[in-house]
Amino acid sequence: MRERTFVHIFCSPSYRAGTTTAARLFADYQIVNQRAFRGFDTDPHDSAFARYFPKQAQVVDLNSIQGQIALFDTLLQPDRIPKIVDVWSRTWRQFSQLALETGFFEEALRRDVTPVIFYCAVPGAASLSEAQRIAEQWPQVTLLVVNNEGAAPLGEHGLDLLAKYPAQRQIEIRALDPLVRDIIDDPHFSFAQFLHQPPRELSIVVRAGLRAWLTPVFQQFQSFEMGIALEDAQYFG
Amino acid sequence: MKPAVILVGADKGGVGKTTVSRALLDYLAANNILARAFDTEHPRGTLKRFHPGQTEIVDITSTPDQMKILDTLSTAGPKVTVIDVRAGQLGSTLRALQDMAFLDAVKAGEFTFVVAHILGSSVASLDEIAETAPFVADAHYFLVKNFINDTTFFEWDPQTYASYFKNIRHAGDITIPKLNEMAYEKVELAGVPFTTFVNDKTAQGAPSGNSFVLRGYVRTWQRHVAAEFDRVGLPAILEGRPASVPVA
Repeated sequence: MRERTFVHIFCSPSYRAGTTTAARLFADYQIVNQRAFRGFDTDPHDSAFARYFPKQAQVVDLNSIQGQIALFDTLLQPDRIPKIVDVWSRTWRQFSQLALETGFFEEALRRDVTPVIFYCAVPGAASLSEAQRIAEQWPQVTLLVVNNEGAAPLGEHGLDLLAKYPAQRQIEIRALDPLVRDIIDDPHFSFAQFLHQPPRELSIVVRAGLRAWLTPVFQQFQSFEMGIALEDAQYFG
Repeated sequence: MKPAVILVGADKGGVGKTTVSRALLDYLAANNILARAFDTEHPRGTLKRFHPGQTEIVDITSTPDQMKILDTLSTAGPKVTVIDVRAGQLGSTLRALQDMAFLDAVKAGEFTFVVAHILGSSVASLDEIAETAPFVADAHYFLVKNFINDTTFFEWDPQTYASYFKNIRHAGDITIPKLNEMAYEKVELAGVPFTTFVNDKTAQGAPSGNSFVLRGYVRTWQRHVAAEFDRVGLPAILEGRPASVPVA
């Protein structure tokens, strides 16, 4: 079995695409599986992702060379610790340009570091076109499309639109009841903690609703990881 | 391929002559063109610090050193000789080359002669061009705008430009783009060629552990510089093939 280091990049060029929620879910999925990880939040103004994971995540300012070094040089370390990057929509262009100019993805693959892009889709042609550009620019990088129905519903023809994305896999995050939404937006709320020991003060209905929302998302992450594990299995059958 | 001399100079200091010479030596190596270099910052040379294996420090005003350069053009292994001219000595070096009949030999087709004139950021550079013009009639003459340190150049008024260029109408231009300050500084501190820095090696060939981001900036910058040298057809000029920029 190959021992590679994964870099999970959650991104979208669009505001309110649900990028932080997706990154957060994936980070809590790591915690549930008792894995260490390192997180990065590229929003220096409102670092929501870093606030949820103060022990694991750091804020990086891509406008400064120190921030760029702190992010990209760490991502390239083949230390087998998964990395999770929440790329703020306003820094996506810069992140992408830096990756292009420094040859980040090519260098990562040379070092057995596997980047996986979780692209959060929003309605409209621009979102699709950017995903196509990423796929063309870095064909060797795994691209997943995240359909976060709560943050950016794709509308009536959502499935048709999703089918056009050049992604290896789709991750569906269903819309959450607004009441439950408020609970998960609490900066102290942890999905991992919720699964481990649901707060007693939460109503049974809310707990059930949240669990029903969360379980399929984690199952999709697990399914994705199993697919990779199968790819990596040297002796199978 | 006939012997070629590339003169890199300016009459003003601090315009990045040595940086351009370093970029040039890296470019020639990447294109498998063997080159040797002379650093005229006698007695302490900056170019030699970065390219010690192929650089010799000379005093361009002394006859023995002039002989060391010119008398070996045909016999030296590398057919390309890069001369990094000390600040303020471009005009006098060209005059010396004329006095030594080197320019006549260029005219006769014995040698290829390339002049990379690094411009300063002020309009005074135009006067330098006028002073240089009489000596570069048979050279491949390039005006180099060096933005590596984010220099802001004066805007060239077309009429002024035309008046200065009436004698050298076919001068080519090369733009050296800006390089991130921290990346530039790290290479300076490392004291190695840009390519060695990009390859994350020390001068002795050991792993250096430089930042990937900084190396990425240098790699991209080198790519842009190479695109400029490619654009003006430098390899073709050196190999004696028709280039995109004609002789002045």
